Amino acid sequence: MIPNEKFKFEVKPEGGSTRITLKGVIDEDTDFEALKKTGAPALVVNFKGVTSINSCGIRTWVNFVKELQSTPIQYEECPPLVVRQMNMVPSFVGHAKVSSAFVPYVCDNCETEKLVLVPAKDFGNGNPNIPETLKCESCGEGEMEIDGNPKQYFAFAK
Amino acid sequence: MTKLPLPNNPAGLVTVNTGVLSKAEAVLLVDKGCRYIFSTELGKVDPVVKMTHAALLQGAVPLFPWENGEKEEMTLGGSRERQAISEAVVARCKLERKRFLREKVQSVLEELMTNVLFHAYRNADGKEKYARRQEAVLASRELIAIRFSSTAQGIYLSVKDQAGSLKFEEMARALSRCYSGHSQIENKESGAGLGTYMIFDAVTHLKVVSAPGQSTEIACWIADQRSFDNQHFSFSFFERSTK
Repeated sequence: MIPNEKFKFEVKPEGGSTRITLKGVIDEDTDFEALKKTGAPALVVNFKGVTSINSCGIRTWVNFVKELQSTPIQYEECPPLVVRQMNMVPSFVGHAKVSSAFVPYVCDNCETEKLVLVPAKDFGNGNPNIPETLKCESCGEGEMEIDGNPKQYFAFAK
Repeated sequence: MTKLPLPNNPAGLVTVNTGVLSKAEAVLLVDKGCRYIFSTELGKVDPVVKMTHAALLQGAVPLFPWENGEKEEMTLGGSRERQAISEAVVARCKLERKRFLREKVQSVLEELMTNVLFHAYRNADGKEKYARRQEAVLASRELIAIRFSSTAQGIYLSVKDQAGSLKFEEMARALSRCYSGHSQIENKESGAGLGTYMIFDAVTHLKVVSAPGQSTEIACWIADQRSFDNQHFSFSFFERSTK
């Protein structure tokens, strides 16, 4: 096994659950064994710092979640790259509940991008209740639109 | 649905849909042995379909319009070089400010490179030469060519190995099992199934040119969805005779 400098995680007990913050690349070198040993009655997994995930990483994560079948798990602050995996591979979510996800907006004038955090109450059942456009704060002239189809983006929540 | 027959090759029908296929419908056709699929409203009069049919009748491999243009080339020599190549492609294609396209390109390139590194090369006993959980350093005769180019409409990528071990049946199996259900994803330590599925799902055009025992080139085109209707797509698997 080669040392993995690409992936880091932090474990922090919070009330009745444990928050796990993932950072970096999830791939064939990523090992979640240490996370299984937290013994927490419930887990909150923060995906905000995940920068890349490949098919080997997806497989490892799916197996990890499956082994924690009896532990309530919540996913928070899921970036677009994680949302795409959740849509493509339903078992990536498994029995976990998604509490929030970032939605990418892009300006039609200056192409500036912005991620907006959306809570689960605004995308429950796959029917997103989010603004179609935002005023671009960067150029002040353009409108920011969702980068993709909102219903397809939140398909995982159906 | 229209099928254009290829004499002496009943399995090699060119299947053309006159409406728009879904990727899942296309995979059902691939699973039935169809190697050439074009989702196009023009049906069999689509110029690309006509070009493909004509090339196949002559035993040639067509050059699709999305493959035209000048390419940049890099060489992949081992598993640790993947990230640097991915970053270089993003920079050269100026994708820093295009999150959606950038992440798609990085994901597709990662899966293409990983599949080739760990599945293309075999030992004499037929087993894969490089294991996923170990660093792979390729021999000089195994180096992998990465080619790419960028236009306002999308990104071209191709990965070519010097093994020629990819079989159509393996690719069809990988795609069909991922589209028919996801249970195979779990409890599986290796295999190109999920990666192939991720590639096919993300790209607009996918073309495989296999020269058994010599090389396999997987080329694809990823549309920038901001400026291109990506409901149209194609899949083709050409096999060059190496006899």
